[in-house]
Amino acid sequence: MRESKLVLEVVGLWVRYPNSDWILRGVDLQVNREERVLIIGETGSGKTTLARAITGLAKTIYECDIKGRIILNGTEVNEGNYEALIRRVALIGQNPYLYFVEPLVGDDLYSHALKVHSNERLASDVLNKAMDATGIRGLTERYFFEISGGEARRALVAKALISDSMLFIFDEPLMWLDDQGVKDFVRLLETLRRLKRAAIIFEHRFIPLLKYVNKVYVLKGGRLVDVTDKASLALEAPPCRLLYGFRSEKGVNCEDVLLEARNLYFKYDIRGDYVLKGVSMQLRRGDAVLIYGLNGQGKTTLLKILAGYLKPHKGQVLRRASTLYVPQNIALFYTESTVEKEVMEMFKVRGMKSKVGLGLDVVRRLGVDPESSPFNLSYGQMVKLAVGLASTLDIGVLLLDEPFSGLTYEDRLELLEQLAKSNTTVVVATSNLDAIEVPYWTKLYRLETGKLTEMGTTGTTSLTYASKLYRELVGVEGA
Amino acid sequence: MWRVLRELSYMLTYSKKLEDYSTLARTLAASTIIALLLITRFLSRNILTEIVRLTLIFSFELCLASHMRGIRGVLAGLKLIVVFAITGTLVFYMSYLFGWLAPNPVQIVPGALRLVVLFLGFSLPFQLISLRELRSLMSKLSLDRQALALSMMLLQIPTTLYCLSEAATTIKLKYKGKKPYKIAVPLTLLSFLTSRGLAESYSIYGPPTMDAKLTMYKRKDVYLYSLLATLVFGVALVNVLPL
Repeated sequence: MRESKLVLEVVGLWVRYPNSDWILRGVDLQVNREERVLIIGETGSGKTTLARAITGLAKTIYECDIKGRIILNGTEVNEGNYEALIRRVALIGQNPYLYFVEPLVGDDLYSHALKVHSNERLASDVLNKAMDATGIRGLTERYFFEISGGEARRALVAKALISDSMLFIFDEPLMWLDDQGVKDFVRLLETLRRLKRAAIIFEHRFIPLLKYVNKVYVLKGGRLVDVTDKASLALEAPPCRLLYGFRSEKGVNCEDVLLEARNLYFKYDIRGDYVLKGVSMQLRRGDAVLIYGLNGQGKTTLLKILAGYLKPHKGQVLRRASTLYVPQNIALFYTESTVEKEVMEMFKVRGMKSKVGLGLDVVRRLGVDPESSPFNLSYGQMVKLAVGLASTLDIGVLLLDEPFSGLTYEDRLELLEQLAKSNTTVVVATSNLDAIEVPYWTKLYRLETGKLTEMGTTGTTSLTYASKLYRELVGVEGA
Repeated sequence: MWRVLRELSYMLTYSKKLEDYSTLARTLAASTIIALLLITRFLSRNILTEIVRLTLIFSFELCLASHMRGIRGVLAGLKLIVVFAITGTLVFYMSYLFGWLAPNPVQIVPGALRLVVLFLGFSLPFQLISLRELRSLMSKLSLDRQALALSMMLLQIPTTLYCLSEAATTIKLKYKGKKPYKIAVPLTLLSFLTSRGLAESYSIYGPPTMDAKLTMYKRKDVYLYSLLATLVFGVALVNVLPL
């Protein structure tokens, strides 16, 4: 049978989880072969639910109520043909490391090829073609947990090509990717276009992708709104660029040095190279320092050394204030059943029980219900709450590891504004330049091949512009 | 700590270095070592014979493991276990010194050695047998579901250890070194999220295959069998030595 040009057609799709209200309320979507569709929307708007519905997970795993039709390659999906059809849709979720069933990438792909094609020779042929198409030959002998997020996604695309997937769904593919990873993902989209495969991308950090997609939708009120024209217009207008990336040092007390790192050297493996080589920096009260570096350059290691969790092999850290570390995986920060208990515990342990009200004020200002579980908050709310609480506690230096990952542009801007208002001494490690132009930082560093160097501002899309564009497309009222 | 945990996680991860040997030879090597360890533990005549046997087995384990990971890698992977062994030994000696209830000091040292040798011995099957082979072997014993659960768990150990390190840093600083037990909460939540993610992944790509090519003989097996025979002979010979 000749394959239809239309790969996916969703007609009047309604989805709700057990005991919840309808999340999707009549979604209509058409995706043609070779087409790349970008879907944006606020946190909780139903992007992941739509991905789960298209891949069948909403029914099989989450036992959702589903109304409407999903037509894949001209055939309507029903219980009888579900298994066969759904195998030709690939989902690559936020955490790509969950999709490996063997420790070595090569073994994982070969085992999948053998499962799909049964015949060893055919499996090897298909695997070779998939590896060549995605350029992952160099990864085959590596453990999946050692490769970067971008490489893991590339390997998963190869896996999906082995199953001859016609539609690729990426749920927040840029999360935890550095700037190089973003470029790699764009290349991956080009590869899929060359292979005549369709792709749907659900992403918060959408600006780097705008040029490479055919359609842009906003998921709002449970329905999809086509904003392709609006997005194209936004692309034509040059982004406003800020010329100066530093804030005034007015709030910085140059005499009061809270933390000083002197000539730090560190390596994980006795046989390996140094991850940090002669790193020196000074943090004065009121400083806002941003450390930029691609993944694997030692940013997290440096933060952990500054926090006193890791000990440098050479050099020393002089710490004259307490530190608080907020990890990249923000869910690891919270330990209590409600936000209120979280605040109480943090204040109690610092002997500030009488000032719990300050913490609860922060909670209210963020619009968070103190009785809710911190684990039910959105990613952005979790980060903002941690930063908000830290600013009310007696904490000398706040260390934030990749706080912008997974945040909408709006949330990113709000987080920076929150940090600016609090005047907390802060060190932020990031692997993308989106936030650098905001005039908030007192110092910018680049961490590359273990060396820390001061850097000036760089020309990248300004966060203010990105946030404005997001507001325009999604139709959110400005703060 | 993270460094130590990372090295430890490699001790539970399959290494391809011994793929030149058949599945049968590798499985026999792993199971013989475990059997010898159990025999040594329960059937040794006295402490001296046990120490000699443990030393023999330890040498063989080190030989195999260092072939896969390099001697430095193995020693780095054993760091955490050695720390436990030394701490335990010191605590027992202190108890003895203070007159508290403690085992005989002569028995304490083999106890520490036993811990290291047992850990290395029980980690070898994970390094020697691939997950595919493990699933296939268990499937042949009609343990399909258990095979799937075990391989899923083993696969997630390195990433879980990384999260453990992140959570440890965070909780230590958040609670100023107090309440370290709170680390269990985010890690439990993480395990729920991971299992949900795995269920999604298996639903999309299908569960891992239970079939693997289980090889019975490869040319290099002779070396492994000779080494194994020497070890078994050595362990048995200890019985006739005047110890």
